[in-house]
Amino acid sequence: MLEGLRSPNIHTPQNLSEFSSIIQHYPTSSFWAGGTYIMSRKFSYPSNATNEEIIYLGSIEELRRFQRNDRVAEFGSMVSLYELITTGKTILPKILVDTIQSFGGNIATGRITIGGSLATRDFRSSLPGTLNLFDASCEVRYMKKKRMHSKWFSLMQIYDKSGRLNLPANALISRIRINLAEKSFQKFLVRGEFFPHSDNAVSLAVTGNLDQDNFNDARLSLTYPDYGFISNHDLDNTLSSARFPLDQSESRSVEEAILEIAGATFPHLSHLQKIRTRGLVREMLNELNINALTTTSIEDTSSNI
Amino acid sequence: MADKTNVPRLNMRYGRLYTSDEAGKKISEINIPEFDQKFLVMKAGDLLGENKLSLAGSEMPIMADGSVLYPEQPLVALIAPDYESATIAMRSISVSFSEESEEEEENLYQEDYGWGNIEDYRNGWKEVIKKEKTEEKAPQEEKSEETEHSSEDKEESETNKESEGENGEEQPEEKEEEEVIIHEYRKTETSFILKPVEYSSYTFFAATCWSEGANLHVMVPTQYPQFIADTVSSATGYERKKIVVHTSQYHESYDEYLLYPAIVAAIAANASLILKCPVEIKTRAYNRRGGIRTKRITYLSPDLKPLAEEVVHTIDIGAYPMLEREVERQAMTGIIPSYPLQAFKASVKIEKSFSFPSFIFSSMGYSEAMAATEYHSSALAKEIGMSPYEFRLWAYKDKRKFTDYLPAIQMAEIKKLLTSIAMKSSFSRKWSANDLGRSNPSFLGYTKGIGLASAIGIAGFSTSFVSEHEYQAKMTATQRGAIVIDTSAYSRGTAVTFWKKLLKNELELTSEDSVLFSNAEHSSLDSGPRILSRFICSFSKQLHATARKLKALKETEKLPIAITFDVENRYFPCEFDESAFGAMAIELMLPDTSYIPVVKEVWADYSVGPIANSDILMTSVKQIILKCLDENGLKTDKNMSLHITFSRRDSDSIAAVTTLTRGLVISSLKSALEQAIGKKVSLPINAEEIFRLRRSANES
Amino acid sequence: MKVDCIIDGKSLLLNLNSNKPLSLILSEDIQNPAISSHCNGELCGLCVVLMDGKAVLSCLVPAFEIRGKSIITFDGYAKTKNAKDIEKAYELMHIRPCPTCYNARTLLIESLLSNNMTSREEIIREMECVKCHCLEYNDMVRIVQAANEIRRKRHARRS
Repeated sequence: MLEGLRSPNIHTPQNLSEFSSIIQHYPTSSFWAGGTYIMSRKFSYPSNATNEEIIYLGSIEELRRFQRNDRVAEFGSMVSLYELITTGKTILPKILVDTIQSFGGNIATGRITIGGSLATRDFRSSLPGTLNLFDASCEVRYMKKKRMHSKWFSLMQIYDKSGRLNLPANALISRIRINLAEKSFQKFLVRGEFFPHSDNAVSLAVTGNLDQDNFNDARLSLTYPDYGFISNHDLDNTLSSARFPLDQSESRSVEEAILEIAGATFPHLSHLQKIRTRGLVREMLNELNINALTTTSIEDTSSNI
Repeated sequence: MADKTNVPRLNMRYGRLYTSDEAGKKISEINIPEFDQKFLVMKAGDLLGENKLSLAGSEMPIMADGSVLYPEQPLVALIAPDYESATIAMRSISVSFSEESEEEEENLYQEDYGWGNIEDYRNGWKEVIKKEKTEEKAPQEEKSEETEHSSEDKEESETNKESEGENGEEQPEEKEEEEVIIHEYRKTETSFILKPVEYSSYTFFAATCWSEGANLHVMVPTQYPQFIADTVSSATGYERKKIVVHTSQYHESYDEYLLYPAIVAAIAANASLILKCPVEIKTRAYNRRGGIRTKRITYLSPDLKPLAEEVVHTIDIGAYPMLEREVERQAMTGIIPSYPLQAFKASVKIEKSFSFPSFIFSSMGYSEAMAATEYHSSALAKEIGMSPYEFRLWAYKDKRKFTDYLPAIQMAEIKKLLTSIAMKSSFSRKWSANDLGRSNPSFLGYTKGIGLASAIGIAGFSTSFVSEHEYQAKMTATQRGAIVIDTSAYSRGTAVTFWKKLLKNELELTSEDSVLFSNAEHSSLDSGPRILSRFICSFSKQLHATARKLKALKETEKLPIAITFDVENRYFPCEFDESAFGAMAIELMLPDTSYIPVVKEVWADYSVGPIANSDILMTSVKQIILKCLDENGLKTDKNMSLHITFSRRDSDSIAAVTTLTRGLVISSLKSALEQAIGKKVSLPINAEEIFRLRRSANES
Repeated sequence: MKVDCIIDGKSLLLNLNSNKPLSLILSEDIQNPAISSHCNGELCGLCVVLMDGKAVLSCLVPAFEIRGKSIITFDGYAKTKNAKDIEKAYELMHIRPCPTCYNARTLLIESLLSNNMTSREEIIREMECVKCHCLEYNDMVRIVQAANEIRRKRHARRS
């Protein structure tokens, strides 16, 4: 006999304290943010496996706030990417806007929430990689001894080394905070489609201050949707130790160093992903070279005057 | 326009079809859990009538019986009170296979066509050298002198020598030593491969069946209502006259509403009759084009003129051969090149495979065959050292050779279009520049390619097909002054507007509204499948002729008068007649980082007969180009422009450019990609494939 | 669960599974002829509807989210004056989307116009959501800009 399809119960807490009491009663509930990931899975509906309790986070006021001051911007995890770039377009770093726009039009970004895009277990968007360049940290709320606790973690801490989400069950990312330090060079590049053909896609995000031939405060991240993102000091050092403009052999050695780090972190990258990574790095270095040359030539001209 | 029938939804049951991913295997067991009475499980043996559908004399089973011969073949239909239950219940069904099916993929059918003796060119030409005993000249020197002559000279000298030989028999006393040297003709060989293409629509279509009185109603999107009625009748055993087909709204991107809806409708009709309630089955529309391989060898004269050609064109038609003779005729028409040849031999082979029957996919084989021919012309040009544009102007004569497939068409129009396209696209300059650019791709970060093609379009089914299958329509002048066209195929489309205008003018009617197209009624005549614009072309001619007859009869006979007429012109001297001329150039760029080729610009010029609606024609040509590019794995640049122009010429045929456009796109795209990559490619292509080819090109 | 919503101007109270996608509700429960796609997560973009005036992909909207919302499908939208503006733009530009994506694209254009998004970049980014390759980018931009102009003139005449 076929068991009838059950309609999941939907809980719509209006604030975080309501959320806490619901999660205590129904500890196995699923969290529903924008629903883009849940709804886009192949057998999402109809499904017997659907968790019978769903907590819809969209009505929690605290999760929809957006604050900023001169140094940091802080947004609730239920702020949609569309809201983020419309309300924060003038203050947010350009690279973050570019990253969000790579998700598609408003019809997509209007439903994807920033918390949802960070907390998807088996798929990485390019957003965490870009946010990490701005020393992003997240406030995580979790149940411990029947009480709701909250703690701030740096973004790198909520993912393990293989790029998987490393949050305890029932933990909720409630707020995300980023530094707003403006950097002179910012670039976001993507090759291939992150969805639905994620196996060969790659994205690169880079920020730093190009000061004469030095690339100071360089931060670089590479994202591979099926694996995770790489953003560490080794990767940053490949750029900060270089003197721009680079000649062909120097460029090649930077390329090799970055590819070596990528290959060591994710050994199963496809050939095409590797070659695309090389292409993106080359494109980034070209831009840096052009910027370095332009700055130098302007300075030369002004000194002559 | 979709049929606006109200479907009774009271007590309706909903169904899903279970299909297997595997094919070519014998079913050992279908494991179906026990469902309650609300569910109906149907297998091939549960159909009330015959488990078969037949189209133009070809047959195939509706549901898999014993073995699964193509992956989308329904094994089980599950009817439930709602779609959710049906979908979930379907997931609990599993099938186990015992072994490979006894049936094997086989070479099904082969047709040859040609002229001249290809063996003469395969074996090379003989040179007979006479040697006198006192001869001082070194034989090698003599041979090198001979090779400088043109082939005609050699043939002449050969015949002279033969005649000398005959003379020699008359005078046996003169003894000379003879040496025969066999020279091989220079050959150019190409291999043109199109991999299978599958199309599964994002949209669902529903086949809904219900009984009303003695009639069985079927509502389904279909390109061929009569086929639905026939299939439902044979699958249910229901009287053919009592089956009423209603056509729901659809848009056929790749002729996906021709075959598959009939399968689904037949199952839904059976379920409806068994359960005695309305039944709806929803599924995605599906279609497939099988793989196509063309191997072609051209034998060239020493001055590099094409002399002879042999072609083997292999088509994978899927699990069941449907209309395979017609597919062969369409393909053969495309295979014959437009440049003159002294000998030609073509074989079209039809192969079976464990995949969806693929006899029509926006083309019945002409586009792909023509693309192979055009691609070969460009490859030939490269071999000779000319640009594809120059080669075509040089090789095409004033008139094409008359063959069983196409008449002796004047080539001036094609040459004109070619020149226009080449000028607009700066073809020759770009073609040379791209070749140079490819030698140093890392410097630019990309390579570019440009491809050119020109061809003749065909329309309609072949003359042989039309003489074998009677598809008819009826024109009736009623007592109220209306003209009713009774046909099963037409309910929508801009062509109807054009025909109304045509009949209004011909019959001197006061308004176009007096012309009515009646369709999909159980009593209507079978007008065959509404397949693309091919039908439009000849149907107009037939309408025109019938309208003239009717006009004459109206003066002498009393109304109503009805004339039954063929929907296709069956009096062509050849299998096909030209429906349009076209030329196209495609320019693309291949970035080194993404390996995703991006189309930068497309130029297309057509020379066509009367245009029913220029906006619709332009839109449809653009859509065909864009969809064909996408189907073959290409992206379009955000600033890409399509430059399309139509020029009118004196012809009766309404502009029908669908198959022509597809062929031109495939051919010019392949040439352009090969120029950009520097390696032979098979379409459709993806980034991984390009990366692999590029790497092997760099290594070599 | 019981869901009350307004679909194409009609107030409805529907008994639905709480997580049933709106695209399936429209095609299966309401038999709305304008929605026939449910791509099962492939983001085909063909199931666009307007939810409280904003374009959304109905396959990503669960039943519990439509409570108290106003949904406009192409079926309801086609009867409005706004739809005529876009139809006129198609005619003016001598180009139109294929029947497969016609409904989705038209509603997306409406969403672009109502949000005053008429720059080339915005139009392309938005229209790319529909995975149908029947229109070239230049034509998409021309159609939206023409529709915007037609609407602006209509509003000017009215005022």
